Amino acid sequence: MRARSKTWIVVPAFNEEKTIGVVIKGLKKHGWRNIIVIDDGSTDKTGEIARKQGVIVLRHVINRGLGAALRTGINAALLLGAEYIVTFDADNQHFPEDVEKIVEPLIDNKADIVIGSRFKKKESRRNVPLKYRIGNLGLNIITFLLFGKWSTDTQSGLRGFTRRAASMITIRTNRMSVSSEIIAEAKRKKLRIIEVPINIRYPHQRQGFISGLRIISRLLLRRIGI
Amino acid sequence: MLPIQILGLIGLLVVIIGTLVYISKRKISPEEGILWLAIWVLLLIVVLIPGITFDIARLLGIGRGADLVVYLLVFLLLVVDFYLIARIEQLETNTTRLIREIALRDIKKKPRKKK
Repeated sequence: MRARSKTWIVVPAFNEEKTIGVVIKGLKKHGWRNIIVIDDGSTDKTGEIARKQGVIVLRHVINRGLGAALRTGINAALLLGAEYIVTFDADNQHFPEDVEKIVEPLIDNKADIVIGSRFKKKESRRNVPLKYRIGNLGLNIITFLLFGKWSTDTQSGLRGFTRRAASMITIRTNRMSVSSEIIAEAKRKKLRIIEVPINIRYPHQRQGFISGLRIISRLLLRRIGI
Repeated sequence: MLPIQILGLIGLLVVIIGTLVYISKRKISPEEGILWLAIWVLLLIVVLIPGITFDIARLLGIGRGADLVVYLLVFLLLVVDFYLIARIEQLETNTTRLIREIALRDIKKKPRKKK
């Protein structure tokens, strides 16, 4: 496929030894060779397993959180000359075949940022447990109220950036609110952002209620400029 | 002298000596040290001449001198708290930048090797 060599996949991983191997293999099987794993201070074998797969593994010696890991990965991809950057979760919730759908609008210059939405397709939406659907909807509404940009999936981990967009976006938070922050930044910098439907599997426990509250408080601080 | 005054006096003398030691050992900057010393001296005055708070309180329309002290201390603690939270956030950001630099070190080296 076109532009495979110019695309870099960034995989932030914190204690994902059970799934990181499968995730990397899946990406490679679909022809994605440029993979950067950010081992965000894992205490398990995440880094070791990733290294065995022959991908680039960058280690945060202390856990800094999702936002920080993404920024490190994106910076690395930019240093390595990436034209297109895709972020991909390490917990095996995404399907590697969806990466293509993320990259295409970027190559066709239809968008600067592409968000893979788990809620655009009905059958994919059904795979998401109800409580996460409600939580996500709440965060979507808050993101909209604070930053004036509607997205059907503000917390998606599968996103794509052009080199220009990736260089322009500033990620300030170290933590989970990074997903909403990216959307806010896109709006502020007047970048074209589109959503494409993606599939998802929910293998295990993800974000809980407390983590949702934490995201909201970070977003509030961000809005008032702290 | 009231027992509470003696206790206050001893306590304040201990923290004043402590602050001076910290300044001389450079554990805090001279500026910060002077700020703290000023606060201790103010408290010392209040302990030695308790009547003073009554006069100031009345001037401000607060009933009792003790209330004034409590209000001021709460305010002061909140200011310190705000400052500390801001500092911690700054340290967090700095830590992340440091950790990121370390993580990216190998990648940044590679292009140089090629040259």
